[in-house]
Amino acid sequence: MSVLWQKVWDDLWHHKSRTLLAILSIAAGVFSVGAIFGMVDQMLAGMDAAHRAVSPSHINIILRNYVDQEIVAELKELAGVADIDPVNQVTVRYKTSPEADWELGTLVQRDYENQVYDVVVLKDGAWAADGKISIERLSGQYWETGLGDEVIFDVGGEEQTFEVSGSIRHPFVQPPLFGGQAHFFTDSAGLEAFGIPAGFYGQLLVQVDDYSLERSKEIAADIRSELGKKGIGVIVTLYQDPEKHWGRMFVEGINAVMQVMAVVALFLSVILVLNTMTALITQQTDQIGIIKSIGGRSGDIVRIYFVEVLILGLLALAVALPAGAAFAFLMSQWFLNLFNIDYETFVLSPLAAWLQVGAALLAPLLAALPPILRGARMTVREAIATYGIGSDYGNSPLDKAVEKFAALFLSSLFAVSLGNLFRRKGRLTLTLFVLVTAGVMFLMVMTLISSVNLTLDNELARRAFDVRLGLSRSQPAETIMPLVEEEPEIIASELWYSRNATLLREGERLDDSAGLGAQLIGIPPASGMYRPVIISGRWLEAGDTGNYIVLSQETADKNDLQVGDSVSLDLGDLGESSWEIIGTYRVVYGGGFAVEPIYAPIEALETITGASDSGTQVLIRAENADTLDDAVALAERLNDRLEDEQIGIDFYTSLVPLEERDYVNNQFASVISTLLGLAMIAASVGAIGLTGALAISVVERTREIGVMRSMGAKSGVIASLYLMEGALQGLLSWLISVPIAYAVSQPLARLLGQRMLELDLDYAFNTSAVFIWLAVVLVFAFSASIWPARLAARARVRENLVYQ
Amino acid sequence: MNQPIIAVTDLYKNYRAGETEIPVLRGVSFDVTPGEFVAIVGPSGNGKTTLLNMLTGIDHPTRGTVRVNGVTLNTLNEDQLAEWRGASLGIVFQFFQLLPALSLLQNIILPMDFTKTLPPKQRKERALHLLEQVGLADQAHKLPSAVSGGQQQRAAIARALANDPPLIVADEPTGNLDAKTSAEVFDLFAHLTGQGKTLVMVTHNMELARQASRVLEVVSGQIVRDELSPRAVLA
Repeated sequence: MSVLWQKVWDDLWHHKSRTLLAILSIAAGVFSVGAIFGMVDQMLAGMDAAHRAVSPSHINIILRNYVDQEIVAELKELAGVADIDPVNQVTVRYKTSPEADWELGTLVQRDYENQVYDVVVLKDGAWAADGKISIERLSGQYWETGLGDEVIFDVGGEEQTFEVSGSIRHPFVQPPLFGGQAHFFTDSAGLEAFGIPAGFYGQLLVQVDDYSLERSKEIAADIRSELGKKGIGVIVTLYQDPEKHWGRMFVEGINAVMQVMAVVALFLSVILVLNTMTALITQQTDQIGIIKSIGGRSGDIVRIYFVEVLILGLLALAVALPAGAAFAFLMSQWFLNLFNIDYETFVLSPLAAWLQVGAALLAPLLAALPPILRGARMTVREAIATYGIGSDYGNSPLDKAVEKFAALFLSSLFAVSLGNLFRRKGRLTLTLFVLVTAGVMFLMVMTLISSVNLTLDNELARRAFDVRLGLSRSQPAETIMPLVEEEPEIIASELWYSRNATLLREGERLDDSAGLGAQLIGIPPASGMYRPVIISGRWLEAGDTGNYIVLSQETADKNDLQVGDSVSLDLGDLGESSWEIIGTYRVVYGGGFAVEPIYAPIEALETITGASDSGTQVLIRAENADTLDDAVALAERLNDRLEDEQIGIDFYTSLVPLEERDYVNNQFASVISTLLGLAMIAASVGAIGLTGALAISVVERTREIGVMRSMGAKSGVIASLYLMEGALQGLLSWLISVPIAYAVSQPLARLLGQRMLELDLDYAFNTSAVFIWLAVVLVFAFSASIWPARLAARARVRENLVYQ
Repeated sequence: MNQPIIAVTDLYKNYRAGETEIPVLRGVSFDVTPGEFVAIVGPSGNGKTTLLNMLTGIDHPTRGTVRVNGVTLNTLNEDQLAEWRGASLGIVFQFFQLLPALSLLQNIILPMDFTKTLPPKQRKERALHLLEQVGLADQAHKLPSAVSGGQQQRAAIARALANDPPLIVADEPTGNLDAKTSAEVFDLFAHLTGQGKTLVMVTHNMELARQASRVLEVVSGQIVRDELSPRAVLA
């Protein structure tokens, strides 16, 4: 084996800082690929596997009235129904200590030994029995209530205490962090205390034969129809894909964007490898010349440097593969735990691992190819010619302009730094590219944050109510409104009427856009409580009494509906009726746990129901509800008052806008944090590149430094040249990145908002982020310059001037 | 009569600086016979190193031909030149140009690794022998940075001899050495020519140039003097 391999070892081992920089550059990109692609692989697979494992129902029907076993048996006989698992799920009031406020929660009752669908799993302790309850696992964690603790329930107006006997995993609860209620479990005997006799059920979990969404909707309509004949109403119908977890859409949108950002991070690290290898070849030009002068051929040169890059890639892989796999597993575990999914066994994603191998070995080799080939093609003369100092500075118009600017406006020291900045334009371009990309990413993400906040604030402003109470049954105004108006600081209140609705056109069922189905909501004329953003047509006006509706633009687009079209609404036991679309509105946020409103004049619903001046939703605006805590307190007082009068609350249609804004923010926080993290990785990669570029320039300009020292320049002055050059690169990157970010951030923020957050964003460019980034990039640039500056300051004149 | 080992015919070399063409060599012609020790002298910046670079294939003429050891250099591409240099030529540079990462022994083995004329085991043996010849056998495993300038230059001479080339070319080989060490290096050169090697050397040192067998003086890109040295005359 040739002794030339000794040079490879020496290059790597005896230049540890440079080797470490190169390894870190490659590892940053490889880590990003492994972490993100590993997460994507594991999260989706983990979610779907957990979903399939609970034998999910295809249809979940929440009833307005209770059904007995006989009715359930009849429904099971309907064509297309595979089986029905009847359960109970009621809204209850609870508190975790005598002095705490009452909260709304959900109490579930099932036949735990004979579950068929949406199987709940006992994680700790025992099933609810013998007067004890169990608590849902996420609820127990969030509200810090566990085995042996006691929970006080409002049972028929009296406080009753139940001991927690077990912790149960329910596959379909909305995480408390995202606004979900606490869930408790009881048996049939326990539920009797809440007024529901054994053998009666308020919820049906249904599977159909030959599943498809269309078939599920057909069967659900048949079931509703049968129930309607028996006078049993349906509050809401939920549909579930048996193969795909309900949270998938949340994750899929994020994944696509994160994958793109991981590839960008890899691309940036590859740019650094290109920079580093270019610098290395430049630094070793004379060695290449010598090798060629004593018989070495181009192939020998290529072989040496390719092997060096391969070794760097392998070392980077050794670092980044386990780190990426660990990060992917931990983040997947964290995300899946958010969705109440256990994920304990470490899994290495084969896809992510192979991508990392390719990223660590192929990408750097490809990046290093141009400078290595350039070095190999270099003639001996080019390689070993020495032309004294300063001969590498060009005569291009840019160089002359820089010189002129510096001569006019800068001191000699700044002028030297500015001139040095432009001496290696290729290297400057590469380093700037990385820093500019990082800047654009950072400003994009910050703009996304400000746009999300603006969107949420604007939507909040359009909801001129502080609390909306959903009622489990229609109530006359004369009953409900006095109770509400007992609240001392009420400014305004309205009573709205809502019914579960299915959208039809010429007998064909149409698609709605929200996860919990559609609701027809009758609102008073010229309501002051809510006015959405109208996309086409108009909003409801005073004097609208006919069958007019305003529905979401999304639903209109899905079903090719326009203003002026007629559709039918199936209102269950109220039958079908025809409605004219007079307007479409923009949905700001919706998705899995939302009901899609279709707005109509309340008089139209009164005509259909035959009941005037009654409603199912009460909207309240108060003086004392400007903060989240005050608004929640108001909602709780109102709930208590209504519950005291035996008026049931419907969780699905109750809302505190400030609270909803908080939950929506929580959903986005994890995503936006990840994006910010990736932007910081890009910035770190940029800083590494800058360090490398400056360090190499110290070596290249060694003789110059020696000459400057011989003229009286002290170490501090030499060091400050490099610090200034680093700072100037940071400043230049900032100047370039801001206009680019401004140009691309609006379309990109909109796209990201739709894909990742299912938000139709209002746009707000984050101006303060521009200055934050200036500070960040200058700190990064300064930090990156410290080591090269110290290198330059430490060398002695004699060493500099005899340097070869 | 011996065929010349070097035959330079009507050699011109121009360099371009911006829009201007600067002539560096102007119609240089000379031959070198095997075994000669030729010193090329002249003021700085007059084309001596350029002429030497023409003989090694490091640079290419604008016009004219250079034949070395029967090969017309301007017909070879870079890889062919590298291969030819490894087998036919040894170069000694002013600044030694040893690879810093390799020991003295490894620096001498390196050219043999490129040409592969000897099996690996014999390469090491030959390298040790060459180091002994230049008096550095006990420094074989040291890095260049650990030995003096004179020792580095002697190692560089040993490297130039690695593939036993017929021609040694040296550019200011004593430019960085003190007088005593310079004299030692020159003694080595004289010893080599005594063994039949041909040696062409650029030097500023007239004292040492007189020890060569022939002196070529280059001024303004032309050979203004080509004469046997007193030593050659006495020999």
